Amino acid sequence: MTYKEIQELINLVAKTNLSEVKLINGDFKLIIRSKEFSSGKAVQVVAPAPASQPATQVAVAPPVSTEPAISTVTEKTVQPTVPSTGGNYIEIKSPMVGTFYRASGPDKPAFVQVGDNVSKGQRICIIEAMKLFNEIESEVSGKIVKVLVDDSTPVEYDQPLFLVDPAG
Amino acid sequence: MVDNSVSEFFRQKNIIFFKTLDSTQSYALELTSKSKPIDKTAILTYNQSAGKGQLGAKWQTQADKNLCMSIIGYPVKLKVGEQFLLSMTAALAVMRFLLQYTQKKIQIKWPNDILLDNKKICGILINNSLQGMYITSSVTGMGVNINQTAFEDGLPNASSLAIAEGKEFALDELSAELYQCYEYYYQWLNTGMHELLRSEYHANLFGIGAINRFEKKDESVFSAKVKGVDIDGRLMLSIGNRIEKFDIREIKLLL
Repeated sequence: MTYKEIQELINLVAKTNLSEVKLINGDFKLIIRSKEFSSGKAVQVVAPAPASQPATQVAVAPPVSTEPAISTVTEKTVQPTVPSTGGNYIEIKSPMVGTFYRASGPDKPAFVQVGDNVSKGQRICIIEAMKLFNEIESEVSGKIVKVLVDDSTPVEYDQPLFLVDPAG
Repeated sequence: MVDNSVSEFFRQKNIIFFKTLDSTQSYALELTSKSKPIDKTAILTYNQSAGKGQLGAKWQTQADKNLCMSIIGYPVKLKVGEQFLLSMTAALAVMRFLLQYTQKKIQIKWPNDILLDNKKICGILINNSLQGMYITSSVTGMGVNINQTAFEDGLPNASSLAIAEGKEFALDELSAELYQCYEYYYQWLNTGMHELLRSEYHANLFGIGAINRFEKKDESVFSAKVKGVDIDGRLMLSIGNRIEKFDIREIKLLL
């Protein structure tokens, strides 16, 4: 996308009541979020563009005051897409960059499996960062619907790890 | 056996001694998951039968020769993004401890190995529990080689205090000393003296300011100048006229 096209899209989204618009085209992903969605202040622009794209630093003038402020985020599509079926699932996200482990050791059972019910505060995985092993606790109660990351693989900050059905 | 003079110190400080234990780290983690031990409770043994290394890797020690201590802590308002300070705390504690007993060169090898004359003398393992954006509890395991003088063939780069000094040491006294050294820096951590921790870590970091050799994941080797460690614990290297940051998954410092 060109700078102009991104700008036009932002303006278009600002005029609607949409809280978030995602555009995915191959490796390129653009997310435009309204102020209500991100609860960010004023205009926030983060553009770590993928290598194949020119690094576009989008500086957008704030829309007129009655309209929601917009934040845009472009990022490489690394997260598995969340299945849209089945309603209101909650994503448990990684609080840090690191390596994702489903068990406390190679010969140990996984903390949780798909179909398991977890309660808030229950240990669900380990993320290792710089030789510190962090036990991640579930912030919600519900049923594990999907494990979104393979064992022993790298994860990014805020990357969804589990999909939980709070009604499960 | 722990002698009487030290046992009183152990009792006061909640240092729980085991004649033999599979792993102090596992025991401490188990204890923390089932109850809420008081801050700085320590699990200690000189005979660890199934020592825990990185995610299941074994940490081999001979019986009654070395010191294995895991300390349970509840860091004060420590954010997830500041977790590397726990590594710094432990590394500095072990350094300070070793300096009481040897004049030899002690350095920290990024991220948290301790070297005595360029040989590894200590392993550190840290397990944290997180709640939201804070670290609520942390178990720091330190295994220090003390009186062991022979190591397996696979460990040509291992050392001990006995090798360095040519004599044996009393493990009880040393345990008390190690614990106090940890308390010293743990207090820095909990009173916001983070910059001081960082600067002391850097002052003792192996290879700082010098050109070192590194191995990448693809086994290629390159040389670069070590600039320091960033807040996440990543190693900052000066490459060309830029500073690049590396995770331990990406590079290994070659001794």
